[in-house]
Amino acid sequence: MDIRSLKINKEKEWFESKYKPELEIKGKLSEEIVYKISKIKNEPEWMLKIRLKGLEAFKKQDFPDWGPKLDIDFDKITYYALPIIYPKPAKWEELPEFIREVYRKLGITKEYLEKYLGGAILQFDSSPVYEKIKDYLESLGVIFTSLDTAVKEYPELVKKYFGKIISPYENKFAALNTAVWSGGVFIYVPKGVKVDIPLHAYFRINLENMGQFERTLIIVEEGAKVSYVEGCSAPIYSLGSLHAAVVETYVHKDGELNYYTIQNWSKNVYNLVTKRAYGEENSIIRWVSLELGSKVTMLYPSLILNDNSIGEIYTISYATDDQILDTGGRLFIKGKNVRAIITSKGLSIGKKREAKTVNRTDVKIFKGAENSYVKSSCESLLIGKGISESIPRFEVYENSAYYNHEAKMEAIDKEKIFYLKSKGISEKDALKLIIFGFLEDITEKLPNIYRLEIKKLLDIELEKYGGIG
Amino acid sequence: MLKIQNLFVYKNNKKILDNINLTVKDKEIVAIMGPNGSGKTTLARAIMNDLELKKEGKIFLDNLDITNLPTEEIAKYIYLAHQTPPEIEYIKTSVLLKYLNININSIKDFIEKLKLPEDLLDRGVNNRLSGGEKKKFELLLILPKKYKVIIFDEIDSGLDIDSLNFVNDIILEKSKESSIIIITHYTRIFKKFSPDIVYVLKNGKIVYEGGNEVIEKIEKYGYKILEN
Repeated sequence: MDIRSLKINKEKEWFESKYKPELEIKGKLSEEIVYKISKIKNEPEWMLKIRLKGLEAFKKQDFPDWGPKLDIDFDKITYYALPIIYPKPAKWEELPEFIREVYRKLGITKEYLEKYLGGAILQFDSSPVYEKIKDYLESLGVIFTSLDTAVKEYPELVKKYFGKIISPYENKFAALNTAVWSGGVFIYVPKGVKVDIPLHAYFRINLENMGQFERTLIIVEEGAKVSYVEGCSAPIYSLGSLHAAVVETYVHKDGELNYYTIQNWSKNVYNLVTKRAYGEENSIIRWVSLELGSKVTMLYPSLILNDNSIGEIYTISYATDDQILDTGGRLFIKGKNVRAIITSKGLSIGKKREAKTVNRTDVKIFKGAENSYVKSSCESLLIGKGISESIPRFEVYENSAYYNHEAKMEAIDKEKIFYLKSKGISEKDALKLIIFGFLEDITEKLPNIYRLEIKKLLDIELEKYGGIG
Repeated sequence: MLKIQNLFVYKNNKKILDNINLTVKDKEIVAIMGPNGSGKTTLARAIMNDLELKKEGKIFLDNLDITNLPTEEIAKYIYLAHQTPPEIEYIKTSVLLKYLNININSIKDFIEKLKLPEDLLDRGVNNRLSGGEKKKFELLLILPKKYKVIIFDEIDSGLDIDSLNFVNDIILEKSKESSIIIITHYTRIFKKFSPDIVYVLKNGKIVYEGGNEVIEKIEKYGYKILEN
C-alpha cells in the first residue's frame, strides 16, 4: 500500500505497524547515551570524540531566545531507534518525474521494470536499478553513500569536513545532532567532475533510512558540479516529535552545487534544521527549499561566500492551520564581487485557525567584500486566517557593497475570491492561480521537472484545503 | 430573460433587500437607480450568488433557477462589471485572460483605445490601476464574449467624458445581443440611449418603476422627488 493513499489519521498506525523500532535509546541525554549510539554503530574513536563535544555544546546552550515557542522535553526524546523508513514509491507511476528522467537516461524504462522486475522498482540493493546507478556514479568517481558508511570507509574525508562548516556551538539543535546523529547522506564529487543526473536518496537502497537526527555532508571538489534533491513530496510520518538535522556542504573553487529540498513532515514534528554551504572563490551555490509539513519549522539555509562567487537561496514555506513555519536564509558575504540573493516566501492558509509563516533573512557583508551585491526579499501571501511576519536583517561593514531589501504582503480575502468567481473562475482554481503566481519568480528558476513536482504537490494540498468560503 | 421573484437579501443578519420583484427581458436595457446605501450593489451581488449574502426568493434566467448556482457557473451567462474591483497582484492579467480563453490579440486595440497602461498584461489583475482604469478593465473583459445579461454596477463613476462615450457605445452594441442592467445613481450615463425601464430602489425596496421620464425628474430634483 502506498502511504499517499492513506488518510492522515491512518499514517501513524501504518508506520507503527510497519516500522516498529527494534531498538530504542531514550531518556535523559547523557554521555552514556552517546557512548551507546557510537557503540551500536561500531564507530571509530574520533567520531565518538566529536559526538562528546557535541554533547558538551548541547548542555552549554539554551533554546534560541527568539522565534516560535518550542515545547520540547529532552528527557522524553528517543535518541536512537532503528531508523524510520523513507516511503519510497514502488511503482513507476508513483515516481516523481525527475527520478523517472534519471532512470530513463540510464536505460531503466517502465517496460524494462515490468519485464525484469514485475514492475517493482526497489527492494534489493542488488536490483538492476541500483546496480546501474551505482555503476554510473562509480564510473565518474562520485561517492554517494550513507554518512555512517563514509565514517568507516572514507574517514579522512569525513574528518576533514565534519563539523567544520557548522560548529556544534551554532545552536542547541546543531549540537544535539552532533552528539546523536544517525543516518543521512555523504556525497563526494571529485575535481572537475560534472554529475549530469540529480542525486537523490531514491537511487541508493541503503539511503532509505532517514532518522530524526540525520546528518548530510556534501563535498564538491574544484570545478566539479552536482545537484542534490533531498526529501520527497509524500508526507513523512515520524514516530519522534523532533527532527533536528544538519546539512553541511563544502564547494571548492569553481565548483557548483544545486541543492533542492522538499520536506513534508507530519504535523506532530518540530523540524529544527541547520543547513549551511561554504563556497570558495568562483563557486556557484543555489539552494531551493520547499517546506510544507511539521508543527514548527525553523530553517534558514545559509551560505558563506568568497570572492566572485554566486549564491542564491529560495525558500518557500506553506503553513496551514496550527503550523508555524519560520524560514528564510542567511548570507555571509566574505569575498569581493559576490552576487547573492535570498527570496523567502511564506504562504499561510488558515482555514479554521491561525497558520503562520515567518520570513527571516539575515545578511552580513564583511569588511573587504568589495563590490558585492546582495538582494533579499520577503513575500507573504495570506489566505483565510493565515498570518505572516517578515524579519529582515542587514549587517554591513563594507562601503562599496550594494544591498537592498524588499518586502511584500498580500491577503486574499473573500472579496477577491468573489471577484474571480464572478469572472468564471472556481475558488479552487482562483487559489491555484494566485498561489502559482505568487511562487512564479522562484519556480521559473527551477528545472521544469521540479516545477511540475511542486505544482502537483500544491494541487494535492489545495485539494485537501477546499476553500475559504 | 432574467426574473427576480420575491427576493429578500440579508447580510450579517441585517435585511438589505426587501421583496424585490423585477424582470429584465431579452435585449432590454433596465436601469436600477437609487441613492447610496439603497441596496443596488447588493442586488447585483445577489444575482451572482455572493455566498456572503443570505437569500430568500428566486432568481431565474430563462427557465433556469440560478438562485443557488455557483457564482462561476452564473458567470457563464451573466457578466458583472464590478463597482470596486479588487487588486490581485499575483495573478497576471495575461494569465487571467488566458484562463478566460480571451485571445490577447482580440483586445489589444481596445487596451490602446481605452488608454489602459501599456504594461497591463504583465501587471497583476487591477494592480496599481486608478479607479477609472479599473472600470475600463471591467469593460475590456466584456468585449470578446457574449452574455445573456450584463450588469454595469456604477460603471460611470470615476470615468472621464471620453470613456463615458465609449461605455455608451459598448452598451448600445451589447444591447443588440444581451439584456443590460445599469446600476447608477447619476443620470449622466444616459447619453446615447435611454433605458426601457427604470427601477428606483430605496432602503432595499423598489419604490418606483417607470420609463424614461423618471430620469428627468431625478436629474432635476434628486431622489427627494420619489419620497411619499
